[in-house]
Amino acid sequence: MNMLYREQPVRLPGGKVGIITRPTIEPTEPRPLVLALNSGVVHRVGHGRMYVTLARRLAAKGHAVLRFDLSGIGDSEKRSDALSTLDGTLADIGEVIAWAENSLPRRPIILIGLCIGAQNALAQGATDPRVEGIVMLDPFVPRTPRFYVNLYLRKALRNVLKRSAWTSLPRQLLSVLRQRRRPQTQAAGAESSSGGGFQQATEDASVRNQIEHAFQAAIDRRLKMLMVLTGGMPLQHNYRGQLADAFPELRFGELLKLEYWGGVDHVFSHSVDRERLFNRIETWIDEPPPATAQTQEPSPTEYETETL
Amino acid sequence: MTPIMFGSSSRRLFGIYEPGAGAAFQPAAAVICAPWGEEYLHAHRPLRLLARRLAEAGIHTLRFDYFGTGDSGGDIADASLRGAEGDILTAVEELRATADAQQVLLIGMRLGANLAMAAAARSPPDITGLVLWDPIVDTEGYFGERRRAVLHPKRIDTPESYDFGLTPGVVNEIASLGQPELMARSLVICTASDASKTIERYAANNAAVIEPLPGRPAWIEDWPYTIMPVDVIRRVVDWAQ
Repeated sequence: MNMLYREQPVRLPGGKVGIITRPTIEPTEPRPLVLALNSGVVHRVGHGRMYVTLARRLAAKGHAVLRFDLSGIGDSEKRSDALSTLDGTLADIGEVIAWAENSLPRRPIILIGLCIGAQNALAQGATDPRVEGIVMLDPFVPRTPRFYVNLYLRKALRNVLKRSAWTSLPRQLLSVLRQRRRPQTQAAGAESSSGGGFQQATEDASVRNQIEHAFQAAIDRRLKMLMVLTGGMPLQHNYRGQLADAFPELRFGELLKLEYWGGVDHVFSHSVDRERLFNRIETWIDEPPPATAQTQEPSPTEYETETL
Repeated sequence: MTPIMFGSSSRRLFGIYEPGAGAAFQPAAAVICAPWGEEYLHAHRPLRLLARRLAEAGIHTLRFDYFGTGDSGGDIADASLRGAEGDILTAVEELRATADAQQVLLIGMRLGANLAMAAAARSPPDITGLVLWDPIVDTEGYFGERRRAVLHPKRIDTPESYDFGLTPGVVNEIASLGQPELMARSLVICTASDASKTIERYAANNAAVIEPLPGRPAWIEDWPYTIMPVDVIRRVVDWAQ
């Protein structure tokens, strides 16, 4: 058994299953509890055992970390009510937070999620006062005109030396024009093999509005946010400023730390990338909450970023 | 369904125990041996359904994670196939004790099937049957499949870069995978469209029943085509009873 942390399976409300990792010696001042949310239908371990490793590292630094399966995912039972998928997910997270409040010394909550897990973290964190911060890994960022310029420019540059590309250029241009005339949802669905549904969703105006409102609510309640966008979602986002361009009205100021890691894949497969991610999360968690609201509105592109 | 930690303090294993439904005493039990690495992740759902169906049929089941993988103790660097064989035998002992089971079946998928074979060969009296769900019969083909299964390839260089479970040590072990003699009661299921290599490998073994059941692999993220392998699950449950 490791001397720095201890792990224990837990039965959570509603037939949910989780693993709690806690420091062997609890700090005198309780540190934030971290809840790791499922990525899609992947269970609480995470891709490449990402959440297991992160939980143990954070526990060694004094945090308690709860990895659990949402209802119907992993080893957790399905919900027995008729809530929608999103409402059921938010109910699940709320139930687990309530369990944590009753079972552990009271402390602020940090949610972490990848892909749909990131969206769920935002949806919950935007309105739940018990949540102090959220970590979003490759959340959905609506496409922008510059996204398309980047996308087709890169394709064009890749093809420039290919003879076959030149001979088929007229056909390709025609295809691009036809694609742009089609409704966005069709184009998104046709392009992607994985996650096509998610890309399709963010083209929908009502979904974009939902995301924007969630971010605004998060800003209004001073939620601390870390967002890491990778190059592993090339049909979703492909440049650092895409979030700012997609939502030009949002004023994150110091609340959001946004990183763009173009050379990293969606699930941080390389150990080097994973180590970098863990270090970033650990550093961010230790940062104090953002200062009170600034009197002057910052530029919409004034996000804290780091150069790769 | 009960999540448990078992094994020794230096080799803690995580498992999910599902008691068999029906009469209080059920002599039959099954340990489910998961695939390795990323395949484990995507096979989790089908194997959970398999365990549930077995339990409904009156068979106690234990699904568990090998040391260094899943929710078990240790890091992936600590994991090895030889160690995983021992973990299977530990799981067998745990299930015997928990369920008071006399007959324990091993059900393995992919590399888990190879591990189940090896574990049974090490301790034949403890195991009363084997179900091998798409065992690895072509190791080069296996590495190729793992490489091709990566959805967003970036900087693919070592096996570990496309499947975190393929550490150098495990890669060496896979490359030298043996094919132990199968025990008396073995069911080999092959879902590949071409089952010839599996049939060729096991046909000479009189103990094995080989059943091609073509279908999509249960261990690959195949969105949006992923479906539950209900035919295989049904067959395994029928055979286990």
